[in-house]
Amino acid sequence: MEFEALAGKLKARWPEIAAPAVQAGDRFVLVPAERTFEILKFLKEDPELYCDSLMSLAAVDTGSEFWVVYPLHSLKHSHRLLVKAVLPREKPEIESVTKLWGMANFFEREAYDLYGIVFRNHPDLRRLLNPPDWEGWPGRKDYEYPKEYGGVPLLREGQYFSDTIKKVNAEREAKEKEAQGKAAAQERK
Amino acid sequence: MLRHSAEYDNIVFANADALLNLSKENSLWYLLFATACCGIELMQTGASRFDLDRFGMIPRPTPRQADLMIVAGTITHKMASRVRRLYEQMPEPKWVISMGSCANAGGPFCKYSYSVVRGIDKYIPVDVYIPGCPPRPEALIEGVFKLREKIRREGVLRKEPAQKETHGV
Repeated sequence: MEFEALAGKLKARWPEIAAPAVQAGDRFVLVPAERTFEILKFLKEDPELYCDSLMSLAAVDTGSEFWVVYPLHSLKHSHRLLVKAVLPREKPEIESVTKLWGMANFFEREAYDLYGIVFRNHPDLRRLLNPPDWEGWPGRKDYEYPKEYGGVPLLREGQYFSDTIKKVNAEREAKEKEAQGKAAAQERK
Repeated sequence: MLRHSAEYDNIVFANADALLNLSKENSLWYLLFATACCGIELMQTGASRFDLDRFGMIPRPTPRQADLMIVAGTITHKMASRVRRLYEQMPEPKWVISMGSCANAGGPFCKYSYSVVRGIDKYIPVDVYIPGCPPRPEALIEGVFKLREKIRREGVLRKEPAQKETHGV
């Protein structure tokens, strides 16, 4: 089944689903977070769609909202569909899909670890990659690096983060420009 | 260092330090422990072309039989507590070689990463640092020779000058 047919079938049932046009890459459907579980359940169990395989699970921070991306594949019909759930930034919560696909377990833990997205009814929602007592969500765009972890400072003496260097350089350039502008103004006088 | 007796060929006179150091430096069994691409260089240093066995160095799979820990690769904060635990399981006397830029100071991750430890010497005391990304097997062997020189200076009752303080886990 082609993308239009798949999206049309979903849209007929849930009119709030959007399928925006894309410049490049795969087309996808945007679904609201509270409806995601039933939509995915329908996609998995409907005999015509039958997306029995969840190929991966990813999270995206767009800056204004979070996406949870479910790339689906049907082994029987050999078609694919990209489903993206939209979550508000203030309270990123979504129903876990571990009941539908067991492999979502670790992927959801990773998304929780890096983005702080809470998956309701997940059997074991702990951090996966970072230490259990880690603070903050490192995948988010507004994440600030910690100064130290467990009493060990993150940077050695004389080391800087690259964005610190960029910031310092930008400030210096701005100051130089300002000084040049002032000198030019004085010359004109 | 060793002196043969003129009368009896099977008697050797030596001072205790020299004899003990001779056996220590020629049987540096190292812990098979690698976390990144430096591990590949470590493996091929141990393999037939460069052959660490020539210096009496045999890889051990358990820290309880190892004298030397070669920290080969990037260490994250989560891994660092495990490294510390392995180090504490090794019997005395024990030595540590920090191999490659990552283990020395964070390497290419020092400007971007939130999770990589900027130098394993923040967690365990290091005897020899080997620069390189990753170091060639020749460099690793040179580092081992430097460590052997250090061992030669040690005494049974006289320890090396106090090791650098680490932050601990």
